[in-house]
Amino acid sequence: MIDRVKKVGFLFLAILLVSFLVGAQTTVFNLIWLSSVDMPVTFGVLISSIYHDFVLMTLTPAPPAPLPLLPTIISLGLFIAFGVTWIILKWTGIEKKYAYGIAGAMALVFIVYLMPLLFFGVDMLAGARSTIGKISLIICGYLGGHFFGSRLSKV
Amino acid sequence: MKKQFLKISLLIISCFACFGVYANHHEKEYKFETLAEGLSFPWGIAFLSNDEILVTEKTGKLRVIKNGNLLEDSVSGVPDSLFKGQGGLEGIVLHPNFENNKYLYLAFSETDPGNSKLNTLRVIRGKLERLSLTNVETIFKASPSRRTANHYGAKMVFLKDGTLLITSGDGFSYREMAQELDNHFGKVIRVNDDGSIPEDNPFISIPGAKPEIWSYGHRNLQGIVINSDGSVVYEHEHGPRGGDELNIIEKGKNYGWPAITYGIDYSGALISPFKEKEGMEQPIKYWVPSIAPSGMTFYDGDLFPDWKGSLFISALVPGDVRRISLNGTEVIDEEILFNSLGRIRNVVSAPDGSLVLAIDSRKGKIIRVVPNK
Repeated sequence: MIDRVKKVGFLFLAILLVSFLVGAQTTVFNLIWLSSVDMPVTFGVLISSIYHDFVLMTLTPAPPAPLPLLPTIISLGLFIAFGVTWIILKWTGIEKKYAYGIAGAMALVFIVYLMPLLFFGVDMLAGARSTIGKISLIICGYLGGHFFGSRLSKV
Repeated sequence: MKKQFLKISLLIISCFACFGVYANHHEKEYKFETLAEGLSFPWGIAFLSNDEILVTEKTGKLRVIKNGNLLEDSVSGVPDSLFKGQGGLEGIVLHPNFENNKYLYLAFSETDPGNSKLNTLRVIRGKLERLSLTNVETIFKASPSRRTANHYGAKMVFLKDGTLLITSGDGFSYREMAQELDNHFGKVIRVNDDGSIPEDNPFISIPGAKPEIWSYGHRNLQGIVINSDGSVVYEHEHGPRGGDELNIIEKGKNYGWPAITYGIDYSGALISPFKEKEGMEQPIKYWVPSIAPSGMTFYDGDLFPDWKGSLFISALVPGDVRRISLNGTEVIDEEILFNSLGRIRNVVSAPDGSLVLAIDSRKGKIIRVVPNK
């Protein structure tokens, strides 16, 4: 029972971690561009922007949706990817941290490539508009999955 | 106890009576007349005369309302447009000398002929003869093409010098390009009535800059009008989540998007932590939360004397019209009107001084607002 609660807790933390990383990626990419057009981006601006984006993207509902948009989408992606990985792991001996890492990356691949198909070509995550942005978001997914897999190994 | 009950009852009845008188007074100012129903997402409106109105349907047809009847036949010869997302057949304006030359201008989204995955904003002009558009020629085509079907702008107005201003939106995913001059994303464009480029455009001599650009740093500009003497150009644009703006457009100016903004992204992320910067223009009014401004007219009619000199801005969310009172170019008041009609796509002043509204829907309506006398 305690192990099950721990697993759910780790899943929740993985979602939170990926949401934070995706938000921070968006912030950093925005600020890099702003800096390139001579806007006064300082270390203070960086910290306050990351904080703002974490609170508004991860913890605050995005109207008209009643839930925070980013963690909802990431949860959906990770649930599916981790579910498939859990089944695959029953027959293979891949280390959990790598298997779930790849699952997390795959979840983000689907999110960054499928979302524009639903929104007339629009990338709802601003940080996903460039190839380097897409790659960095996929790495965020990998890190979240890796964290989840490595914690599971210790339960 | 009985007396107290009577007093309270009288008080309540008096309150209702006062409210009734107040509401009645306001109802008496104007009334609505439905001119046409069953239009497919009506968008742009132009008046051939007070009783002959051209309406673009976003789905691609140019319709005519004559003496209060929507003609069954649409205008032929209108080029195919791309009806997708926020795109379709949209802006319409008549040449200032339409009486003599019969030129009509249309702005719409269309698929890029060289790549079907891309599309762009195109403006054409043609001669309107009865129910037919002939001699169609391209006046402007936004470059480069985009893969998104959002944020076209597609509004137009003629300046008093006879040149045409066209709004070209940022394409949603290309917002940073609004700060660069080598493209048409997020720009106000100025061309001559035949599409040639005026020699006094501000960036015409800058290498690499698109010579049609009049101003830059815009988002999705869906309203552009001039005041009655043609000396001031007003423009409004959608912000993201918050940050809709009303601007005064001047030659060569940078309006800041997305380096400065009062809005945030739909995801909740900051687009920019900055709201002002030297060299970037401030709006004369902005809205947080958004009202989704969709059309605008400068009222100079006589039917509503109290409204003379006001700007009227239609809003999709929650669905109303904002009357903006001006003192010179300063906004002094905002009044919310017509908030019982649903999403209002456009508001224009008719030649007789009435206001005409386009109600945005698959079965949209055109409604005339006249004094309730």
